Amino acid sequence: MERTEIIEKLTAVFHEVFNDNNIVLSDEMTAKDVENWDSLTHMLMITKVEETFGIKFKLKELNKLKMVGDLINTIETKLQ
Amino acid sequence: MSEEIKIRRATLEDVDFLVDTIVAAEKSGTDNFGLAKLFELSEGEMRTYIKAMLEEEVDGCEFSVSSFLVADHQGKAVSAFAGWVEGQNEDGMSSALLKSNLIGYCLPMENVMKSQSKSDIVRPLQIEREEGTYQLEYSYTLPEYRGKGIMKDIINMHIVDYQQNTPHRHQEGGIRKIQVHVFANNEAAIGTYKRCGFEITKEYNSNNPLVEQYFPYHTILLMERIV
Repeated sequence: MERTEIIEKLTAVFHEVFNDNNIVLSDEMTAKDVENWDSLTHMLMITKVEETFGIKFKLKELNKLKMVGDLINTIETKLQ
Repeated sequence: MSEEIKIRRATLEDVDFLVDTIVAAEKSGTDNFGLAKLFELSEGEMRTYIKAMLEEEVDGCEFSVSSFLVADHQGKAVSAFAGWVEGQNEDGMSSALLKSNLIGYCLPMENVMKSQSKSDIVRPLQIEREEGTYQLEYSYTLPEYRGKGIMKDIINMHIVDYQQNTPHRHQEGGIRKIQVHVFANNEAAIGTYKRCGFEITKEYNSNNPLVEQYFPYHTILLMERIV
């Protein structure tokens, strides 16, 4: 899957989980930049990402996802 | 305190007592185990998943075995209280996200999804923790060991741990702050924290009547102590 397609699908997940269709993803974006990105919605977002892309993150991978760019890179690696 | 009781760092051998501690603290003197309800699980199922989370041995949050100090009597844990420096774990992650990752990783996907409809209800009582502060969470003492000052001794040992493990803040003259969140109806715990030098500094409240389905009470107090 191309990086642009990953970002497109990920954007749809963010719009749904954080209930905001105006979110534009950037590599540097973190939980602090998105309204309603709290512990519960974080968990839901990760679960929806796994479902959308048909992947399963390792716990060690999850605990290194600090920025949206890390998430995109990890999805890209897992899909290869 | 009885000389036979010693405070020590928890190990994986204490995991069953730590599960009891987390469940009792979540219920906060009620029968309401909101964490299980949030994911539409039975208490027994949620206990199994909490044990699995603890066994992952992730450091830096309230589901970390390494965060807990326990009071040990004759080789058995009788009291426990978790504490950690917020955001200063291996990956520099907030405890909230570490906890989320553990829950999301250990629970079945369909149960995680079931919490989605409740996210707006629980949000007002999901409190962001202050980076660099020492956070205390999940305390419990077996009934027959209460009133012996055990919790005060555990808190004091957490404070020593904080002072010894954050020397850079001390050298810079930075303020060290210990924070604990407590349900406003838990007078016994509030009294204990006050005796340990904590003061109420903030109140978090939800007027949504549904919130008490997932929390033992609608108001949480932030109590702080400067060390």
